[in-house]
Amino acid sequence: MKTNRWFSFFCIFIFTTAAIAGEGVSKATIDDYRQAKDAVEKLAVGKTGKYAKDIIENMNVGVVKAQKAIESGDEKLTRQAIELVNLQMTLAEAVAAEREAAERTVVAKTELKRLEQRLENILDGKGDGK
Amino acid sequence: MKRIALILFALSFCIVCISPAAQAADSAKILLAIENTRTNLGNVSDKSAGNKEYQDDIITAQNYLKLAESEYKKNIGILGNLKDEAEPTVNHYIDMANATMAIVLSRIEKANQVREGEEIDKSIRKIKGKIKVFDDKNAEIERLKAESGSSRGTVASVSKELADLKAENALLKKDITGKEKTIGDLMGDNKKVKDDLDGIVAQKGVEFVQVQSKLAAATKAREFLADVSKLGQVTSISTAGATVVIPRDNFVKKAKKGPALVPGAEKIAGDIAAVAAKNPEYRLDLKVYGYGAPPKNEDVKATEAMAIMIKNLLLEKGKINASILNASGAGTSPAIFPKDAGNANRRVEITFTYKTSPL
Repeated sequence: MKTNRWFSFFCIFIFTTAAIAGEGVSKATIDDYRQAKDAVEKLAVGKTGKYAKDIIENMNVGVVKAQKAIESGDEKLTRQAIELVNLQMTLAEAVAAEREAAERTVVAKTELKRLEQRLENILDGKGDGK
Repeated sequence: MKRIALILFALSFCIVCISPAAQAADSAKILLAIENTRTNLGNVSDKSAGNKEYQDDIITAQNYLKLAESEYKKNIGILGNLKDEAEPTVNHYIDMANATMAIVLSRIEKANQVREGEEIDKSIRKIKGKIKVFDDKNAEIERLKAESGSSRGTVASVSKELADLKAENALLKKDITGKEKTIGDLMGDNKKVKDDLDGIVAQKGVEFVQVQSKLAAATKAREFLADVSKLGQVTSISTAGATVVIPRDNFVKKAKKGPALVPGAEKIAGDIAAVAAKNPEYRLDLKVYGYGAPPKNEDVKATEAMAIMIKNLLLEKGKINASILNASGAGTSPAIFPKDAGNANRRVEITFTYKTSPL
């Protein structure tokens, strides 16, 4: 009987811990999760999605992680995932801006190179190919 | 049952004890990640070169790193391993630090790209400016070429026009030469005709003048005869003139002391003078004729005296020039009227003689 009591205590400890963990995500956190998810979806279809697709994918992984954390009732893990996703949004925007600028730079470099070649041809008397 | 419970507890203990050992590798990874993050943060900090714009983010990343280290240190187990429950948090802080650094790096890189882009744009503007000089020159050259082409076209057109004009000119010259020859011929013909005409005109003119002159003379003669016939009876008409007979009694009559002028003599003398003045080409011969008895009143002497008397009358009253008037007495011969004509033979004959023959 004494053994049964120890077994019961062990089982209750295990399942109670799991139950507390599963139901511990606050409504505010869930709302934050939804907002983050929506924001990620919006970013994915815009300019940021075009230039920072890899970051968006990481963010989606983070969203899934947050969702799983909610499902498992892990408030802390959920908040951490959301926090990281939100920061990654900023990162995605920064990366998108960087890559867009880089793309413009590449275009400008190409144009510069073309113009330099054109000028060189003109100066060498090879004619203006345009 | 007791035994089973002990076994389960022992197993749980083993799991708890073995678990940190199994995750020792994860702790090393986390430590390595923390170390890498620290190194990266140093690099990022160097890259930002104290730029205030990124300072906040760098501090945030540093804080995340500190949190990760703190969390790690806080959750070291009795065997020196990180507790399982702490690992996500530590990893989270590492991820947050890395994400923050990535943001900083991305912003730095973007700034670099923008700066580079601006430099490139500047270079592009410079090169474009240089090329524009050539473009402008090329455009100018093209314009001049086009203008030159146009000018060439114009010159060609003008040349063709000139050639056409020359050809036309040559034709015209040829034509003119032909026409000049024709004109020369015509002028020659014309001259000949003109000469002929002039000759004819001259000849006809002379004839005309002659005819006209004759006509005028004839007209004049006719008028002269008409005038003369008014003076008295015209007895003879010739190309040289005409003779008119006027009864002597119209001029003179017998008086005690000899012949004397009758009252109508002055009028007759005036008429004769008028005819003479109108026809200055005639000279006048006045003859006084006697007839019958007494002979002393009709002889030459007596008729001479009468003639002088009538002449003087004509000179004084008629204002006739004496050089064209000749007066004489003819005596009794010859009679021109029959004897039964009475004193008709006592007459004055005035002969108008043309100084030079008019016809």
